[in-house]
Amino acid sequence: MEKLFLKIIEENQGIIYKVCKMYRDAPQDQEDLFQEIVLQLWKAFPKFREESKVSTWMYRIALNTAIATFRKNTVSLSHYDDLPDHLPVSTYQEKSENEEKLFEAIRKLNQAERALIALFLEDYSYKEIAHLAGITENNVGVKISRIKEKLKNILN
Amino acid sequence: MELENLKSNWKNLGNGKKNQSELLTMTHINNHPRIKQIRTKFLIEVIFITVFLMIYYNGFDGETKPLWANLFLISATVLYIINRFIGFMVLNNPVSETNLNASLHAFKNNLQKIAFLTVITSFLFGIAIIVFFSTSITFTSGKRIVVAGMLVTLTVLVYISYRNWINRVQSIEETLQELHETAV
Repeated sequence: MEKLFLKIIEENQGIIYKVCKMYRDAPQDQEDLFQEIVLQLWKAFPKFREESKVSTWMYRIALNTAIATFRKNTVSLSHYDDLPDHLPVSTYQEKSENEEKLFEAIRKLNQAERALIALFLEDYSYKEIAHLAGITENNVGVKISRIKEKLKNILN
Repeated sequence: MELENLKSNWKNLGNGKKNQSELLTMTHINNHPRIKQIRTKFLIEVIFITVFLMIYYNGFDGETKPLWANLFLISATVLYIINRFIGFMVLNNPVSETNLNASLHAFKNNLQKIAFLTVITSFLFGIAIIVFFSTSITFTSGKRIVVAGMLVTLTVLVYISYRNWINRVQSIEETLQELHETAV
């Protein structure tokens, strides 16, 4: 079971990474949340019956964990990792900066909005998002439109 | 950066950053800073309180105190420890139901129960200690002031603990409202 779990998490760790970047400012807090999510996934794994997609299961637990452990008014000191030597600095830096800009913009949304936009960007249908979030499909549609507008304004 | 471009890049973000060996260490509670900190704090508290329970009878002349005072102290202490344990378990198991809304609702309800029980058990524990040490004492006005001060301190500490739990509840409640609101 452990081998299967590790394989699944390794292949889909991008989901955990994205949730951590969305819900925490500081790299250390992101790292702590990453560990927390992996532990919650490990605890939930015995009950995972593959009735839903792996990514859906991981998103549900990751988002739940991120929101449940969220604390307001924490002072964050963010810093950027050193750039690796073997990549052209400009290419990596531009990609990294765009990525960071995106996550900074998402962190300006409220907790629920971050969850919904992540699922939308992951290409889930409104029906799937509604099922995962536990709200109506109509509600998802309205919210996603508003979030997209909000994000556009923030990014521009 | 166009929003439409974001979707195409989104799925590839963050892949391949950690290997299986690193992920394996994360499945062990001992490697989790937050949980480890809470667990260590809980264990220290339980050890101190257990040692107190074991030595209080001889160390603090339990035989000279009324039986009810001894029983009150023991039961209040046990209830306090049980509540702390339940709180610890609730905090470390936030995921329960099949969707985000239901799971957060369940978590919020558990937090509310723990907040309420924490007030009751902490207050009882504090009162039990004060009562235990106050029995068989001849009170003077000075001693009454000291006991009054202890009661005020206890009330403040219990309130602070309660506020910590309620802040957690309010944070979850806010997210639940954000999930459901559709009004502009």
